[in-house]
Amino acid sequence: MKLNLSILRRGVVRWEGLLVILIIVVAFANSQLSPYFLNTSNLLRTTSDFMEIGIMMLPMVFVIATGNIDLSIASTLGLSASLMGWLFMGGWDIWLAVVVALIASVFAGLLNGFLIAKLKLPSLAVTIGTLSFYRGLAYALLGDQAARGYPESFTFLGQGTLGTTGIPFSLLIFGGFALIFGLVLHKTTFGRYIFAIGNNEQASRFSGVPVDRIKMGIFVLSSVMAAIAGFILAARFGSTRPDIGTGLELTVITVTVLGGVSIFGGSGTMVGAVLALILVGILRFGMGLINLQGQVQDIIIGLLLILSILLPRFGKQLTSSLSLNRGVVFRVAGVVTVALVFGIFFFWSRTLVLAR
Amino acid sequence: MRNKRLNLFLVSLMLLAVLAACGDPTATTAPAATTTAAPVATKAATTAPTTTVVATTTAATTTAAPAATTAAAATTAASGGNKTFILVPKALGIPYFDTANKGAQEAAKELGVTVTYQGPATADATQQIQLLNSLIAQKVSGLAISADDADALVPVGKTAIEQKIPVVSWDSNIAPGGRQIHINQANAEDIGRGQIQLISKLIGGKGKIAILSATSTAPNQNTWIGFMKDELKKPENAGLELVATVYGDDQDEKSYTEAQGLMKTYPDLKGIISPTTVGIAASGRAVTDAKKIGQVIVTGLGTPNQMRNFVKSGAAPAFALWNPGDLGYLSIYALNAISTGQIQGKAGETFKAGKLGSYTIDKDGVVLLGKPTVFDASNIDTFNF
Repeated sequence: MKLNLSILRRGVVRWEGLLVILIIVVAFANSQLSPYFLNTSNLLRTTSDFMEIGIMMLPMVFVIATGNIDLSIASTLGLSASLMGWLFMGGWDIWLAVVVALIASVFAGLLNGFLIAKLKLPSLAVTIGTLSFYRGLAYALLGDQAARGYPESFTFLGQGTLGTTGIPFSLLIFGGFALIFGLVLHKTTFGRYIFAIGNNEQASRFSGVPVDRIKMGIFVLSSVMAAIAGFILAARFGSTRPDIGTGLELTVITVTVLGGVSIFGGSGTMVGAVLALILVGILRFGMGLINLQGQVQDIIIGLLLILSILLPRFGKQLTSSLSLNRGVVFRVAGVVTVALVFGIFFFWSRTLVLAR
Repeated sequence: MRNKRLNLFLVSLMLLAVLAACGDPTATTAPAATTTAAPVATKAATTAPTTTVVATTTAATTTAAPAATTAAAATTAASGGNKTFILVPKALGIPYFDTANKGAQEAAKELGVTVTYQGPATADATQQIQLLNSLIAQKVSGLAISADDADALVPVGKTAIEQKIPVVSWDSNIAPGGRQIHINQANAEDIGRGQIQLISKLIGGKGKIAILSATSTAPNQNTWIGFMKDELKKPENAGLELVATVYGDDQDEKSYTEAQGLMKTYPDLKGIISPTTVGIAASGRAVTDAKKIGQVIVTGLGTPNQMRNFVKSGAAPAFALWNPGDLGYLSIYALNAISTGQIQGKAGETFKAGKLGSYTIDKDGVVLLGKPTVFDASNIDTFNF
């Protein structure tokens, strides 16, 4: 007996649907585990920890969808923020420094794009190189001093909230950009070209898609957004040191891939990426509230990432050939039972800890 | 073929279910998570029994125990029980900070409060800020922080103070505005100048020296290095030449490599100053492994237990420190004093700190623990930390 699972395929089995379910499950679990989770001001305050990652994630969706990767974003972030800070400490007007740093990030992106698109070097190797190069430049600029004393008009970018609502200004910036990037990806020709390049670059090239220009463009975009994220991060800290944002590129890529953007290129949605950002955000926030150490949090996020790559591969083949027989029923029942047993055991053992 | 895929899919579903139920900090979660994460991190140190498996990453095992106790402590704080202060080190897994925690726990017992030890996995300001945001959300009763970045932590410190959570910094300061009091271990000037005076005595006043620091952004390190450079300008130190300042990021492996690099780059190097407990131990090892004991003298800030062998072998004949346990102890007393309203963190106020006596806040909101102690072969065996 074959089950008609096309409905399931469109709804739950779609990756975005799974993300929504996960968000609900995690949110529910967290609200049970800590009384501080469902507090609006806490939730809003914690979003500011993730907005820089979100802003860098938006162009990363483009980059990964074309089958490339950009590991240099955190270093570009550091370089732009350090350049801005260095100019500011040298007496420049802060906004002028911001503009100059933005222009510098364009050049950073152009270097990446040139090496990858024109010289056809693999993006992984190139961006690992520029990762070190740009971070080194940042250190060369600021050395071991900090740029500090930013005016309030600037720090508002990272620390400001909208009146009394407590909504961080950076959340609004991210929301705006997410909307724009989402529309570009799904509703414009440029977006279709991105997926085309990711699916089959040669065929796209022969079909007249301006592959090189698009690749240059997305790497420049990636660097510019990294610079903007750098300004927001520097504003949030109220200071800049050359090591600002070190390591963020891995989180950005994790969130992007978790969002359903295939690491091989050619598919993915902006909605999925944003949902993944929300999932990682509340997962980390919730785990922090119950005082799980950072390394343990990393284990869980890492597992989630591996699953996000495994499931789409096997889910697709599964739903196309599933037929209901005794073997399947037993196995599904077995898994559900094991999951239930685990779940009950964890919550039970947790009440033991509380009682003590 | 089909069945294999089905099995894989079901296994993944099961893992998902485990994940959803996850979030339990006790050991029972750990086997499920770590069996699949086994290749990820397998350096198991096994002193803490229940939460051993959780500590399968390179951090010390003291991080595992707090994971269990903090969950319980956090919930008792939530239920309106006694006060919960959080001691936040620069990073977890560093013996110097673990000793500070011991002192803090002693103060906690005397005061009848709960002190839990929570820190970032690496000495990174962004991680520390995330942790602090989470603690503010839990409405803890007070924060004692050793800052990874003096300026970056000011906004989050201000938020905590606005939320009526007292903030005290210790060991490594947060810039004024982001904390109410800073507990300084010893006068920064005494520490910095003392290090130069120490190395000068040990290498006979002449020769090339280098500094192996922690992270380039650590405020305490940079202040001490500043005073060291100033002390070098004095005429009596004209024979000393500072050839390099390198950074080991408070990581043992990196510090070891940097120390080796110094000896290779400057073959006639006579002294290494490492004002960080991780760096001085790594330098001592590097000098011993390179068989340069006596040729290259190591000094800096270290803990007696770590450095005892190096003092006896001559790799690091003398070094300085203060008791980090006292630092933790004093921080908790200061936090309690603000929390109970005894003081407000203003200049001139005094408060009592148990066995250490009473302390006065100076004009910058700083409280001085005392003078640094020099450890050498004559007194190293009388200390145990």
